[in-house]
Amino acid sequence: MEALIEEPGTADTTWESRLEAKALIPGTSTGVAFKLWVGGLLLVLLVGIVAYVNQYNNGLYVTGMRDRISWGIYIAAFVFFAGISMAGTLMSAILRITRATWRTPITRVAEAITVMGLITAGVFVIVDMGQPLRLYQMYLNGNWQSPLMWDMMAITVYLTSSVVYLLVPMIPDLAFFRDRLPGRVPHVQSWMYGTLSFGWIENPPQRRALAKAVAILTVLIIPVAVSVHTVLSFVFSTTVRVSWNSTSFGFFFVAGAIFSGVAVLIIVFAIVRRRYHLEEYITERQFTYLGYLLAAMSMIMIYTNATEFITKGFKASDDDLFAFRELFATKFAPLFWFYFFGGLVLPVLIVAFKRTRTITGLVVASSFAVVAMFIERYFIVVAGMSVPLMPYEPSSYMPTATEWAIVAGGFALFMLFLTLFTRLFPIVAIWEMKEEHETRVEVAP
Amino acid sequence: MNRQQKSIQQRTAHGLVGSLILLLTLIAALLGLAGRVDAAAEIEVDAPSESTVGEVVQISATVTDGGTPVADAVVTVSRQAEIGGKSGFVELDSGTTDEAGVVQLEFVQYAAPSDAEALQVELQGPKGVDAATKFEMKVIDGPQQVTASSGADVGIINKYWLIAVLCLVWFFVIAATVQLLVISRASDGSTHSNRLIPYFMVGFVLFTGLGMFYVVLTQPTMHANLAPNEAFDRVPTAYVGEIYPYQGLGGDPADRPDDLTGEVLYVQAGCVSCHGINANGSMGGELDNDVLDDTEEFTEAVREGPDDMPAFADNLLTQAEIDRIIEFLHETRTSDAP
Amino acid sequence: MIVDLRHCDGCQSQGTAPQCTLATIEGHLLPEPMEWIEVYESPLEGGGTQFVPTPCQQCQNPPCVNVCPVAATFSAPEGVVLIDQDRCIGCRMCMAACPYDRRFFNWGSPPVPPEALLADYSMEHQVQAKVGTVTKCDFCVDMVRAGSLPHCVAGCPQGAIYYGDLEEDLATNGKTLVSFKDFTTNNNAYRLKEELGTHPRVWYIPGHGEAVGRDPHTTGRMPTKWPWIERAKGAVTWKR
Repeated sequence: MEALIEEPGTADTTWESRLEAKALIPGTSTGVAFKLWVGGLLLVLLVGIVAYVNQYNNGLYVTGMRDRISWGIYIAAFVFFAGISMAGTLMSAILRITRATWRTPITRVAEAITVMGLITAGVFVIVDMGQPLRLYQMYLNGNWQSPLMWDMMAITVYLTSSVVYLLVPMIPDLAFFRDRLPGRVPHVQSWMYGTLSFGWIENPPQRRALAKAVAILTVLIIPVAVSVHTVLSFVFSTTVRVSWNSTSFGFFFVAGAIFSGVAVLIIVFAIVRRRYHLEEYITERQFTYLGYLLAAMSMIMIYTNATEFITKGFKASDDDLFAFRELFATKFAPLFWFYFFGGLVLPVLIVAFKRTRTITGLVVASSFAVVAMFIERYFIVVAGMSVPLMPYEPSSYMPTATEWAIVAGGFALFMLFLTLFTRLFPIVAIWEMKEEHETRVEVAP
Repeated sequence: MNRQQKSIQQRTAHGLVGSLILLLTLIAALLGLAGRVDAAAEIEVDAPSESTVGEVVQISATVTDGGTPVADAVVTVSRQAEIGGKSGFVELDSGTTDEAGVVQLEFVQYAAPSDAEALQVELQGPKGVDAATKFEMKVIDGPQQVTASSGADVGIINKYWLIAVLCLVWFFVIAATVQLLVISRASDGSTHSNRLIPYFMVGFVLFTGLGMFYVVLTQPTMHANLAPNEAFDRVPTAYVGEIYPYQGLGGDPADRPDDLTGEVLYVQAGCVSCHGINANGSMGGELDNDVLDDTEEFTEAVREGPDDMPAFADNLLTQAEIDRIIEFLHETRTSDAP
Repeated sequence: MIVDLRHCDGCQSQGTAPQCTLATIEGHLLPEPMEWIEVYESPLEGGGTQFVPTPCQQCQNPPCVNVCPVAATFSAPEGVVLIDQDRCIGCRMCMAACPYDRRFFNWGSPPVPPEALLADYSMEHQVQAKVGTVTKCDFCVDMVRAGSLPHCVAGCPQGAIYYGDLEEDLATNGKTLVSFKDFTTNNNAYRLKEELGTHPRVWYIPGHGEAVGRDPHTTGRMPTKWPWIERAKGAVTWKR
């Protein structure tokens, strides 16, 4: 069984055995730091759950939302996590289609982020609902005219296909775990590897089926991913609120989603690389390329914002002016300018100079970008709603402790999912890397 | 379209409005006594016997005064209507007579509350109505006059586009998922993997996909004007104020019917506001069976009002009423008991 | 519905909060801070203000109905937009979509009079309010069917609010009957935010209370007060 993956006549056995050993580390090792980290996340998650139970019992009264600003940080978090989910699978699919070889070590984690991000986004939709137990009504009495229904459909398709897309290319690696790990891990864990590898023995029919599934999904997942975020923007732009009344919202949301997604990827890769000693496979090369992508998306964001603000500001309807004043000068000004300079301009500058284009520099840039994108989602939702519709005093919104606790719980849930995934599943695509290594070795001499 | 022309004269011949003419003559005579010049004015109406909703109705009226036509007289046509308990005449059109004393009036027929409509043609004198002729017109239901221009009614844009997109997408998702099954079945059984799991996964994906189709295909139509009315289940209306009129604390027993149930009394007298719907207590205490069983002590508490509770003397609640409240609370508490 | 703004002085002359709002609160047992018909004070171009009583506009092309994912809000056959609180999932998409700010969310359990707690719920008379669902003016079709006028129409001391049936081309303020068509045309009636294409069923006749002797420069109206006192355990009020 040991020689299952090792093809006879492979040139570089030391390279392979090193890769295999590295890949097996997460599955077997647990340290005190890991336990503390998971414990901490569980604690935050528990606080979030307690806050939610409180909200469920008392109604949404415990939040800062009221009739005039009826969506708040939950919807912002929903858009944010859906955005994060965008980058992973889209990146992995685009790079797979274009056969960019540098992607192989990073695709698995990117795909995992997609699934985790989508699940967390779904959690926030339910958290925001006044009657969460009636979710089944979406099926029983669903109204297909509603943008929210399109959203649910797009997210369902995306989640289903992302799970399959995560699972299918992982089968050979799970089979590898299944063969190597018995006895070294709990019984449940090895049962899981056995089940999820679907009896993979790498015979030709299986390889053909795998290639077919990957090919279908790679092509499918790109339009689906784009549609998810476009439709998500429709939830806002199909209403008649001035700040949301924009035809470019779909594009804007997709760009923002890729931007924040890439930033999260960089951060997660940096952590995984350090934690599981994958320096040999996730190299500066991957980070540099991701950094370029980050800078490019950042510039697209600046461009989109500019077109949006200039076209609206030129016509300057009263409501637009009110929204601009709030955004640029008064209520949301600190948030907006942090977003603009800290979240969009700074990452471009960091990537632009060779001296700062290091892994540390990129992680700093990404952290700024992630925070800024969360803020951007926040002020898109809240500033859009704070423009008065009728002659009344503009209302204000401030998230309450309950909301903060639930949002923190959501972040903890996302990180916990990701931590457990990296701990339990093969985080580098071993077989793809081997294939790629082989071709490289063949071509090189 | 039946548009038989019938004049009032013909109707008179049938003895339909003979008494009305008599009345008009009487009024004219009275007005003539008052010395009015046009006191004997008469309106002769030529109107269709029936009309259809949505169509234009044309009426011609001739005003005569002792046989001579009256020119430049203002004539209006109005219809009798009733809404929200208020009834009266609503003007539909008005016009001025020519030298022959004839005026043409026209209006669009709107929906009528019943299958006939009462109309009235009046001659407007300087001091109000000088003469009036009443007649009825049968109203045939026509197309709805006020229709919604809903955002969804674009004809070629319908749900089948969405179905097509869903078909395309889910075909690929399912095709990819089925490969899991293929991989599983191509295994030689040398590994210990559960063979049912892939079937389960394919089934789950199928179920989710079909769920989407179910949603689109069974969607309810929300615009009443786009769909038959059967799409709606109307709920009988409850008149809250009629069933449970709140009369403040107690209220005068003489003003109440004698047969009010304990439940209504419990609400009307205001007990519920402090003791809660199931007498679980909030501001006031819980009225559990221990409290209720001792009827005498309970009555005394109601009469005297311990602590902050208001006292209900027998001019507010009679003894029989208190007994009924106790009876109701007993039932509620028993049915709620675990 | 036609609101004759020439007759609306925001109940300044009555020395009370707008009585249409008060009557609606009493009649529908509305919890604080719901004003299903709210009297906004809106500035006039040449200085001074006008009062605009604003109920749900009952649009013919309602944005709220289009966006509801579960069809809990719908256009009834009479044309009225209603909400089924037994189906509403509380996503508040309709509140984001409504351009008139006429939808209210039951954020918590507010204090209500005891009779509200025992009432049978109906979509046409949304008592009692269900926590976590959206609610709004229901145009009192049930009352008109039974032969009385809506609370706001009956409550208006100046007869400024007309209620009627477009199909019958008829409206009344409880004192006179008018032809809807002629009354709106002859008085240059307009609708709120007509450019949005929502086709509201509430028309306004421009004015600032001049017919009842209001000076447009006398601004301000009495704030609305809710008569319900906090009695039930855990009852809460909130601001809009």
